[in-house]
Amino acid sequence: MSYTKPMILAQSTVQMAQCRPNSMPSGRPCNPPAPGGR
Amino acid sequence: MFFKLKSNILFRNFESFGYITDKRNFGYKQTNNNNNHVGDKILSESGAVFMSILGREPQTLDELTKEISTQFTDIDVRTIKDDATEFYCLLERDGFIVSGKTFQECNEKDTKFSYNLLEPETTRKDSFENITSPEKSTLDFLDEFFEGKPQLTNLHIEITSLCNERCLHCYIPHDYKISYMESDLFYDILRQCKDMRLIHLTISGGEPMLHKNFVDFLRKCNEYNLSVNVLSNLTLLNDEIIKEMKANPLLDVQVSLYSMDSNIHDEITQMKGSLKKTKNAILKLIENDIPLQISCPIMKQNKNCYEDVINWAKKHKIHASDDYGIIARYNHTTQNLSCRLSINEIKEIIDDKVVNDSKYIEQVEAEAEKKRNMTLTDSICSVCQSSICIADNGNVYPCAGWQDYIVGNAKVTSINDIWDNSIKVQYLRNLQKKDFPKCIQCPDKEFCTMCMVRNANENPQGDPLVVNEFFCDITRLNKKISLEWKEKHIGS
Repeated sequence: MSYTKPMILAQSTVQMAQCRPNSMPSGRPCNPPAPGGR
Repeated sequence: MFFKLKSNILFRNFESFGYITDKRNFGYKQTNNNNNHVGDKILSESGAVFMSILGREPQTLDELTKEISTQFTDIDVRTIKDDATEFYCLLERDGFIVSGKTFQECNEKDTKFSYNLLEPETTRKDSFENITSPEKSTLDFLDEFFEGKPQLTNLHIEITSLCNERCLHCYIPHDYKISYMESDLFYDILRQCKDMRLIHLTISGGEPMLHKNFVDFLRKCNEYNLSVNVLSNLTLLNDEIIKEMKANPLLDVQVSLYSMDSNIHDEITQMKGSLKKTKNAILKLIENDIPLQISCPIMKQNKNCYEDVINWAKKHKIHASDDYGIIARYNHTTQNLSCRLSINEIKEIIDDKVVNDSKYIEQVEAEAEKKRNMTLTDSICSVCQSSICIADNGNVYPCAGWQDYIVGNAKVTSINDIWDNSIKVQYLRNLQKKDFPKCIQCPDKEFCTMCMVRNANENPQGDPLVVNEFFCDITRLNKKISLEWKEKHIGS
């Protein structure tokens, strides 16, 4: 691999998904967000 | 100088780029870390190399430089060392790695979760201001890279359907709580997860601690560096399990606690002595600094005392989440809904919340505000977009509680194949908000979280597109209460 200076290409702050483990406690674990908070 | 990856950070190497994320993006809410998430980043190809050699143990800059230089023959060591310093310090500033002048200092700066230390972290903002932050979002990058093809990041595994409790509201029919996942199947699934660069795994049941290999399953998850949530009633917690849970800084626990009155909690679980066991186990986890969240479904039995659970949790610095939205069983029998609150009872609960929790309306409004930007082509939720579930018998299904919508079987087909090619996965994945015309036209839509499981389970034919009117009533109620509150407090 040829060298290039390491970089950050993209970043996100957290956006809580509509449906998270902590938002649906009725005994039903809901889905955590995907990368980027989707 | 020593550097190490912070214990709450996950890294995945995609070769042509790297992905780093904060475990807390996937774990449960803690009592005071809402502003504490560091988010996620995409690293360049060489950045992924620089990150891949960092471990949980501190290493000196010289050691790291030497290792990086074995992978790049076209550059001098001095440049690698300078770039490594700059890159690692940038990532330290943003909360992903830690440094120290000594091995010990580096380790000490990696503040691990502790109930005694629930204070917001600070990250340095004073260095490398000249490095421009990328404007592109992680999501945009991944969408472009994978050409819009959804990636599986979260898997929910039900390692046994057996349970030692018989909770009245449970979405799994009690007659179906009969079997364990074969251990080899679990290990095979984990290997596939590793290959697919999965990030988060939820281990559930039934009661997962009833599985004879539960501890070893946890060990393997730690080995594979997976973020793990364990859903358990904790009545079978023992020292061996605690030790293994403690060994994984990427592990969270979710436990249901219904009341602080044993008569009521035990009436709901239908297991005498269950409150005492669960409560003691929660205290044990706190003692061992294992992060957990309490879930407190509100039903007829505990509607007058659920707040005791919330207050007890608060006293112990645990986040507790309550909810009155009980869903029907996945075989479409609805006897479990006899414990569900009526709409009038839910109104009383919400009215109480508005009075007792100054932030309740603010949160409802904030959620509504986010949904105002919804478009017709938005997907419904993360189902088959980033997450999927596997039952103890290998059946793959879209979402927890929706076990009868089988999209494949992990014993006969690879997860990757099911994810990419299952007709049912593709059908669910392609559903958009506009496929729910009634919802799109609904004047209350900003106050509703559309959910296919609650539709499907309560519909005799299991149709996820048939809107569950009970939740429409709750939505209307929330909107009405919110508007009334605003008129009274802002209008006056």
